[in-house]
Amino acid sequence: MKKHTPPKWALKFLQFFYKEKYLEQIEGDLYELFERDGATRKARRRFGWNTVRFFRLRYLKGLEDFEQLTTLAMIKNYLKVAIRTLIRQKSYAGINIAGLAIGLASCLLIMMYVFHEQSYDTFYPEGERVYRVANGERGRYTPELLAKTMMEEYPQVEATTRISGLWESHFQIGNQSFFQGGSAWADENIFKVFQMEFVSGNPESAINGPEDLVLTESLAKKFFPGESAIGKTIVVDGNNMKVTAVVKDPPKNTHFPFKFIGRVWDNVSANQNWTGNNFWTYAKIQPGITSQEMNNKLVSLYEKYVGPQLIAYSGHATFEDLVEEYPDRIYGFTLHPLREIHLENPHFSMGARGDKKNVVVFSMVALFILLIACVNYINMATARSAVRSKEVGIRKALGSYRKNIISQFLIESILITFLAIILAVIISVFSLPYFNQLTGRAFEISDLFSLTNIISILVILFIVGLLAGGYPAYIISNFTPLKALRGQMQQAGKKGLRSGLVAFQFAISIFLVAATSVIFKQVMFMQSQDLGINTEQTLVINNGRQLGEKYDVFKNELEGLADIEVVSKSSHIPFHGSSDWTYQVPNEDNRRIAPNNGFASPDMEKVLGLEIVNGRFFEHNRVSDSATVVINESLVEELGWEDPLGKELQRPGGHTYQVIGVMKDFNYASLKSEIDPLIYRYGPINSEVGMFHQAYVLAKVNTSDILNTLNQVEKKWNEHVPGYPFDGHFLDDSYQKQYESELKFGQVFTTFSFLAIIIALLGLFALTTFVLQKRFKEIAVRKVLGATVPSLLRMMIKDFTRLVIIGGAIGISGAFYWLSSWLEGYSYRIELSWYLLIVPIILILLLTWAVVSAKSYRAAVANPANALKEE
Amino acid sequence: MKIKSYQLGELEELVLMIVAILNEEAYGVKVMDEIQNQIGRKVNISAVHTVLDRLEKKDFVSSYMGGASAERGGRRKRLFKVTAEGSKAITYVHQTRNELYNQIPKTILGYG
Repeated sequence: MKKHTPPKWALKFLQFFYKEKYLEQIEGDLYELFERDGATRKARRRFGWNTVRFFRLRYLKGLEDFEQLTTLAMIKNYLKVAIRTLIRQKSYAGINIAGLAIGLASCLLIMMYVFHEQSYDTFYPEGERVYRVANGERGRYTPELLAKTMMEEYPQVEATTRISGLWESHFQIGNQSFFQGGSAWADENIFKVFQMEFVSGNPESAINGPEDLVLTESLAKKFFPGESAIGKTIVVDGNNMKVTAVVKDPPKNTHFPFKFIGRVWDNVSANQNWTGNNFWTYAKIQPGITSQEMNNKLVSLYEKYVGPQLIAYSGHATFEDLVEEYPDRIYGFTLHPLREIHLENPHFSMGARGDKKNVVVFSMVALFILLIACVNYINMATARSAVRSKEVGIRKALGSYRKNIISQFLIESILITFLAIILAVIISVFSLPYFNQLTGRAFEISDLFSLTNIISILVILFIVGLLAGGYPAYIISNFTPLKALRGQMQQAGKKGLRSGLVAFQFAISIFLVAATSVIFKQVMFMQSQDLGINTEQTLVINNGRQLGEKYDVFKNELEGLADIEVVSKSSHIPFHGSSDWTYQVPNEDNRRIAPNNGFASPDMEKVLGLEIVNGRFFEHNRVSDSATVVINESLVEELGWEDPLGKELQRPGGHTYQVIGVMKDFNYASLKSEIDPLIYRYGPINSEVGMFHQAYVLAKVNTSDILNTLNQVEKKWNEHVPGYPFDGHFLDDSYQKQYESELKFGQVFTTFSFLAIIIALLGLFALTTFVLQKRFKEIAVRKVLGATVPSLLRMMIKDFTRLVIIGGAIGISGAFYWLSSWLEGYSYRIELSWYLLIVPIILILLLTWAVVSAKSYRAAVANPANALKEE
Repeated sequence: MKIKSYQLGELEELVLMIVAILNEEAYGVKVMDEIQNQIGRKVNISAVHTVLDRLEKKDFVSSYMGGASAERGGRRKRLFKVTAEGSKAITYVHQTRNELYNQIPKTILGYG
């Protein structure tokens, strides 16, 4: 019989894993058993099996058994030394870790924000082939027929859909009646373009009919808890609708945060209208087709369908003539990737709008703060290195290579960074609510711990650890052991570099403070601007058209209330958007203008406090006023009219209106833009626009008890429009709302400049301590020779003052450059005055002086004998 | 005063006695064989090693490396012998067992 040998793998296994001490006896016993079993195949198997059974923790090799892995053992030692050093220098370590942690926490939060902003609409399957179709280059609204026609004309288009939304709809379920936001109306192809997850129901047949309704899961659960929503009836805006399907809620990071979807109406298609733009069009194109190819095709589609209707309207002979006359305009439709809507084309969004500028600024600020924190670390570590010189000397004398010393200090800095990251995570968790308020997003704690975030944290751990630890490690490892052991203080690093880094910190802090003060000044300036109208105590009631013919009664009843002075109605209200209508001047070759157009009742003059500089406003009981308009000064200027009264304006192909008055310009939009031309037409009698002119009811109130007045108004509303909730707000609120993004921007800067200053001051504090440690003998000698305490403090302060001024000069020039370009985005803006830029320097200077002298005072008043008695 | 108690597991007790019986000739395989021969119980070699290690840790046995032999693939044996503490433990265990045994009424043991 063939003689077997014990399995090789088993021997290797034993030798690799088991301690030398146990190896021999185990092997020996196994061999003995093997021989006794007759060295058969069975014995061989038993040998292997027994090997595995010997696998016990006690027999396994530990770190000390790997002689070839000295580095591992050394790392163990480095970590031990690092921990001991940290424990010995508690305040130093504390400042270091706290500073880094604040920097890292800001970084962490901002990273989460930036990733979130970039993740919008990435969750739709095949979303990379979905595009939003813009009218021209950026126009949001597209013709009704576009989606259908694109589908018919081009095989490259896989699916298209037409959406109107998001609106607020009036819901009635049983006897409950309320407003539900997030209503979208779309054609049946929406689920081909946006592949949603269906909880129940079928995407093919979900919204085929006008009564079909698709709810999101959250709404379905809210309305019909514990039962299936399918087949249930809801009265939406007065129509009976039936739930046909339930889809999963769209996640937070979408530009289309719908709550329910209904079938969109098809009313205009009979007219083949291509100039009414009321819908949003999305298209999914076939793989391999670029958006540019499609854009080229869409130019001819535009020419074929929109062209003829445009020239019928403009009076040009051919489409080419029109294009020739306005070569700057884009005639065509363009595709814009779905996933870029949030940041690149936020005006396409139906929900939260992204802001690329915010993302950039946030990232910059995060980087700045992290840099300040790193600089702190570098400064403190190099300054502190003198203390460690003996340790380094001994290590070198005992045979350390330079690279060992470097890795030791790198490991130490990675350890500090690691501790800082733990603290940073705690800080982020607690500051999350505030951060949400700042960014206008709704992050949860779980978002902090997403995979991308965790990976980035680890990357940051190494980058910061290496970046901040690298330079000090390089310097420290450079010490000559002889000098170090003789107790000679070695100059750690170049003083110039350290000063440069401190100046750099000051530059960033001062930049941020300057930016903060200018941004707030600008916001305050805009808020306090004289708008030309009176927005105070002006109540706006939405949904005015629900009143219908009852408006007059409602108005009279409200005016009968003691707190209400006067009531009017209008198609638009200031700060809530406007729409430009085309007019032509019949006496001047039908010259065309496109002012913003609104309808107003005569009392608008009193409600808004309009100032009429020429002529008059509309008057009650003058039927002829329906053929008149009141225009603003800006329009007069555009038209170049010397005497506007009595001049005529005409709607193309429509009525002619006579100018009866000129209003002083007032701001009806944001102060970011100039005041645009405006036309007011007389609302009440005009039937051409239906109840459009009655979209809003405005009431001038005069009360100190606003709640009581609101209650009274609501009661009257409910009497006239039962079952339709009252919805009102104050006009000055909507004015303030326009500047929310600036306010947020300002808050961001306040927060982060505050953090930056704290970190910089922490660093300054630590640095002062070390300078004092180095100079304590010098200070004592000076004192003995007659220096006073104030003169000593001045001496200490002098160095740092220079750094603040140098840093200030850099920071202020940066701030000046950036802020002037930021302010250019505002038509009404403050001047960048010198004191706005000087104040931050003074602020930082005072803080520096406070920190340095507070720290130096003890050394300055100490008894010099104590410092000098030892030598 | 309570006498020192010797905590020994069943297998530990067995192995300790076997080591004592083998009198300086005890090593892994031998102990395993002896348990089988004397009591008829099969024990895995790794279990024997574990028990021997544990006994050594408790200072009941000590060990030294013995000579190599060809059948062991040239590996030396690790020989075990009982320490003084080990002998005490054996005695203690034996005595307590006997004391307990003696207290059992004879009727129960069935000799009338």
